[in-house]
Amino acid sequence: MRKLLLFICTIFCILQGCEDVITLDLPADSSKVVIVGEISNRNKQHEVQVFRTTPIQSASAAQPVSLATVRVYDNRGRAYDFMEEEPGIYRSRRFLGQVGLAYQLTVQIGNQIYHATSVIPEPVNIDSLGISVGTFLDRSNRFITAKFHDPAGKTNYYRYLMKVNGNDWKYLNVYSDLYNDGKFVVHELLNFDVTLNPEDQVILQRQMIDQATYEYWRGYSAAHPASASPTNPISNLSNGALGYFSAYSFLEYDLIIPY
Amino acid sequence: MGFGWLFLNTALAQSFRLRGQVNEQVSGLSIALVNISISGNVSQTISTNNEGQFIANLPGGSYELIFSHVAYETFISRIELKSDTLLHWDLQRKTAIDEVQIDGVGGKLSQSLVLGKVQLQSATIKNLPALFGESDVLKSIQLLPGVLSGGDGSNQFYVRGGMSDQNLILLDGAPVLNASHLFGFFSTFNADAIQQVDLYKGGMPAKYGGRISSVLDIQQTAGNTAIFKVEGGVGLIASRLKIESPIVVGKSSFMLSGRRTYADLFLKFSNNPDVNQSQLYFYDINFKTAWSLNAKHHISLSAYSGTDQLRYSDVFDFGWGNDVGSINWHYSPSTFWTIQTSASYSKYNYEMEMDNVTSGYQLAAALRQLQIRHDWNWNPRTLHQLQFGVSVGQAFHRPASYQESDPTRFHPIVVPDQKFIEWAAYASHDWRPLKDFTVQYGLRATQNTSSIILLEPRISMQYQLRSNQLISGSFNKNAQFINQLSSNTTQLPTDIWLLSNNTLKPQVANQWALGYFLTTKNNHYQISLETYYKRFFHQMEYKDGANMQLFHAIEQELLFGKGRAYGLEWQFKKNVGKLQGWIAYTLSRSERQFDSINQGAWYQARQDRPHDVSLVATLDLNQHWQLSGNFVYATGQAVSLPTSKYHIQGETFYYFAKRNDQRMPDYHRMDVSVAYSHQMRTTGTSTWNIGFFNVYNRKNTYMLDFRQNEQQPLKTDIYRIALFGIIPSVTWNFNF
Repeated sequence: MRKLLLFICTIFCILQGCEDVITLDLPADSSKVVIVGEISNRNKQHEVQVFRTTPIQSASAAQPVSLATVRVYDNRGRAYDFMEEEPGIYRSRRFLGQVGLAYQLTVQIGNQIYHATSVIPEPVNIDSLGISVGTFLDRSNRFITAKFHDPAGKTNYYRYLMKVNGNDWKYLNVYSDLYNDGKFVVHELLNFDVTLNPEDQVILQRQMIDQATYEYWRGYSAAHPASASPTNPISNLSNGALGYFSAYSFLEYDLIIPY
Repeated sequence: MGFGWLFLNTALAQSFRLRGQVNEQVSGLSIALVNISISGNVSQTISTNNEGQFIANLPGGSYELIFSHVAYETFISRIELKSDTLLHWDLQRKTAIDEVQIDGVGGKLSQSLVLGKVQLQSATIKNLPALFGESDVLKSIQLLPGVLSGGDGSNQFYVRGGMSDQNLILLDGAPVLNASHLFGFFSTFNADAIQQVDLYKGGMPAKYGGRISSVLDIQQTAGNTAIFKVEGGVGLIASRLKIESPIVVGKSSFMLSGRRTYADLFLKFSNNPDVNQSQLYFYDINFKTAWSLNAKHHISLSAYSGTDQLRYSDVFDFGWGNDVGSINWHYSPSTFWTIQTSASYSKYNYEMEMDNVTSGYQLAAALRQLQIRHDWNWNPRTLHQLQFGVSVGQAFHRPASYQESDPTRFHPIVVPDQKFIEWAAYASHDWRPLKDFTVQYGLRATQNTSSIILLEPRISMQYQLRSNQLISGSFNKNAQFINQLSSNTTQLPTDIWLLSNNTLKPQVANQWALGYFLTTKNNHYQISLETYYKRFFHQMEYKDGANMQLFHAIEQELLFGKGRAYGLEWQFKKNVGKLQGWIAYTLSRSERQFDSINQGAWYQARQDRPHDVSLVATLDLNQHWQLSGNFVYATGQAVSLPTSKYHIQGETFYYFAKRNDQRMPDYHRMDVSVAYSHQMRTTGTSTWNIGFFNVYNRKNTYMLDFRQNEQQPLKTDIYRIALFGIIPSVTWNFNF
């Protein structure tokens, strides 16, 4: 649908310039707490970020929430305290996430408590990676394709990130196997925000995530300006917090862009 | 200058013979004893003979002809007489109330003043300036009071606070399921093929049902029963051709009309081979034929087919369209009885094929409706009239289903077909208990396979204050079994249809309305003032962050609630003379209440646009030149906009605190056009029409897009995306 809308606009933009930046007088509502917590199976360092939303007109960085109590429990009864290492960034280096285990995040800010639970899914290997070229309207880009066998009989959710030449991780997309459970699957990791050039060194990270994390990022990726309903992604955190808590397993693949 | 003066002088000096044929609109039957009052250079009154014909000898020039007859709507026609001419007019039968009035006191009120009902003639629609010069029925009705526009690039319209899927659009009695071409830039109704458009905003007679907000009853022209005629036009993006002809003169005729766009031509300007080799067009074919078998039996057959095609390189191929047909048998066993039996078929479907680099899929859906109706009308020309009838129909929906090009890699998603049988029966009584008071009351009962029997009472009353003033009140209840859900703020051909079932209750609306109408003595000016209050039940909205790709489980993504709407509609209209037009102002609100939206508070519906102004004018400068223009102003649509934001891993998330609590910038626009007509050969006319849509180049907002500033990623830029700036057009129209 996004492609269709883009196409409609492009047809008419051929005739005349059709977009400009305007200012709107939008109300400033009270800021909301955002919590982003991630636990993985291959890294002992886990991080929970706690901060507040900023008004849409603002160009300043998010306001971190300090002095929160951040703790993760697993369903074997162990508890891990997260320490605030930078303002609003809480870390633990004490444990490795275990596949199949459920983790509960608890964040206490003043007298407000926020909870979320997440289970680390089984990792799934990619069988082969390829490079293709995608074109849409006047844009064209190289992108990575990942081919693999989706494990049959259970719902799997995939999330991809990419690091190019040592830059920051870049989110690519999320997928579910709703329509291809147990099949040989190809994910086309097309993203027009990142340009891949020959000889670029790429690390591709594939995460196996739970449904809540998938829904959060699906909501993000599906958002477009003409959506019929507000595109607030659904969070797994209680008490009205934004963000998500994701316990995931992941695998990483190194590749160099050819030709 | 000199030539014009010379021509005018000769025209005045010379006398021509005007021959006319007057027929009944639906049946095509000729009408005897129609009074025709002709005014212009000379004035005279004549009437038609038993074959519905008349002859007048008149000096050349422009004339106004007023057709009147006790049983037919008064009709005003303006002509240019430059040679011996044969013309053809169709008159519409009056609604019951008006007939009673005429029989009683011979009221002077214009017959179109029925509460909640507005009528547009094809000629009015064609005189209005139009986008790309393409006259558009659905854009024209948006200029009427109480009808709000969906904005640029949309022919969605909202009547009295209702959603766009709550409008019943009928083409010769058959529902048109998706009335838009090219994503809503144009409507499926080619103005050439249209005779007349009736819009009921309220007070719908009991014979209409199936949608809760309005009935748009569009009648195609059945063709000229007297002479062969050709009409057409060549425009910047489309061409049209219509032929109409008698089959047996005075008894039967047909009309065939076609239109095809060549919007693809614009794509050729692009340097991108993918774009300039893309396809983007639509076409329409309209057909109607009417046969008077004898004085008692009349049969008409009507058909429409239209298709859109959009192809972008080899990435996607997308086609959609409507097929609509109806057959109508009109039988008058005696002078008091008319019995109509009709059958209609409507289909809308789309097919989309998407090819990504390594995979592809097909998406297809179809909606079909079949209906048979049987209507009786007993009109003994007394103080009473009865109408009753039954209808039975089937709706069939094949919801969107995915099919991957490579079936080994995907499970096909087959959503089960939905269908229901629906029946309806109605009876309605028109009664005039007092000299100045008429009442029309009725009941419609309807049910579909999974619903209970829904009773829809309808009542409409009129009290004539003086010969030129009328007050009127109405109540009606309507129910709806077929719903259309837009996943976007703009309408797309892939919008989801949902048929009512055990869990999805039919939508219901109740409407109360009150009106006051005033016509000046000479019938030149009309003022109307109408007010309404409306309640909506079982309304649907998407949840926040709804997944609209879940075709098989879309009901899980919905919320159910209720609505209310109220408003005041005012119109001042000038019907005759060189300058004609109207000013309309609507002050209205439309609100919804859903338990889990905005904490259960009432909030403004997307189509809530409190102020809506339309100004429409046409000015006949002389027999060659006509100017027309319109101006519209409306409060911006209610939208949900993000008020705060946050960043996760470099991606910007926008947070929407409330639904529909913000507004788009106000919409306003002015269009103008100038038409130059001259005689072509002996009986034809050639008209050049030059128009400017959006003449002061207002960038009206189509969408608002929030994006990260490229230099400062923490800063948000709000982009206003506008579809149209000023758009000039040139169209050449002809007829002979």
